[in-house]
Amino acid sequence: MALNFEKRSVAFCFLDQDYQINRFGGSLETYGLRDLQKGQHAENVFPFLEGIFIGSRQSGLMRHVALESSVFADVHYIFDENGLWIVFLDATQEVERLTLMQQRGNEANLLKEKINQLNLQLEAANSRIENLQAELDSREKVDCEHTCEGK
Amino acid sequence: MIKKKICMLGVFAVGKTSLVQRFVKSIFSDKYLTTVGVKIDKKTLDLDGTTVDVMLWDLQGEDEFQELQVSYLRGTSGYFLVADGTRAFSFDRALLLKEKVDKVVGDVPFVMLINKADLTDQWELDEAKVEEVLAKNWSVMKTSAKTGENVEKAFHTLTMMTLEQ
Ligand SMILES: Nc1nc2c(ncn2[C@@H]2O[C@H](COP(=O)(O)OP(=O)(O)O)[C@@H](O)[C@H]2O)c(=O)[nH]1
Ligand SMILES: [Mg+2]
Repeated sequence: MALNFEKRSVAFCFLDQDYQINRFGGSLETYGLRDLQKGQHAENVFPFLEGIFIGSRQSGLMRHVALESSVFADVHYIFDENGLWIVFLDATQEVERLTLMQQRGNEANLLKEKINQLNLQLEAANSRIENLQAELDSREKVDCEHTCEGK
Repeated sequence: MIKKKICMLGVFAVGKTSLVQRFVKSIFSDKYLTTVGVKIDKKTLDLDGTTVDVMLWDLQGEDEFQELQVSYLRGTSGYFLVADGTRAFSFDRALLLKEKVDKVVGDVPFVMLINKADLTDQWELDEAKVEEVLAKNWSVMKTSAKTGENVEKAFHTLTMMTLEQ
């Protein structure tokens, strides 16, 4: 599936050493990226790249980045000797699928947590009752010893 | 323009998304909608005359489906470590998460948030563990995304900390 580029609306943007837009292409509009212009500083166009420009020039991938309303992209950033390539692949369908699964899973886990909590509370209540019972029993015994003595 | 990237970290359903929504849009919803991946919101703050653009990275919480993706953390100026006061497990996991994050981002400012302060009657945190954390001199705040308690203050505090770095 990951290799099915056509379905995943590829778009790219090449930034020069100063992180200014140098070249771009592909279905950028899928990602809400309109009116890109050569020479624009990337920081003002791609808020999600904040942090990539700092520190090491290590290439990487940010998965499932929410862009244009309800569009998600896998954003690859690849440094080479002339600058930085940003490559977008549509991940919306995958995110939708994961969201459904994760929503159900997390809701179930929240319930499980709740049940565990209630069980712990029950156990604590039970052991309090047991302690009380034990105390009562021992008192009864003492009482009985007192009252039964004279007979 | 000063820009600061701030990440929301913590296990699922502690209130990361709700805190950002409360802060950025002044809204809250009781309905739980899981976050997949990352959503970035922006808010411009005026702190004692300094204007700061805060980029809030609302990350997918750690859950059985996914561990934290460290690539999101790159270049972050600070982060919130969010726990849910009604779920002791989320507090323990926040501490583990902190160790993991430290290895990636190094020494950046953070604030620990114990969220859902409107439900303190249902809180179940281990006092001893909380004391232990307080003894570390961490910045810890009780917040409620529902009522808004301490939300603004938390974001301001962390942003100030990132400016002082
Ligand atoms: N009572 C209460 N509920 C909250 C608070 N913050 C979040 N929630 C609820 O907790 C659930 C998870 O919140 P969410 O923001 O999606 O958590 P996330 O997974 O960490 O992003 C939702 O049902 C929210 O309505 C809070 O401060 N008080
Ligand atoms: Mg969320």
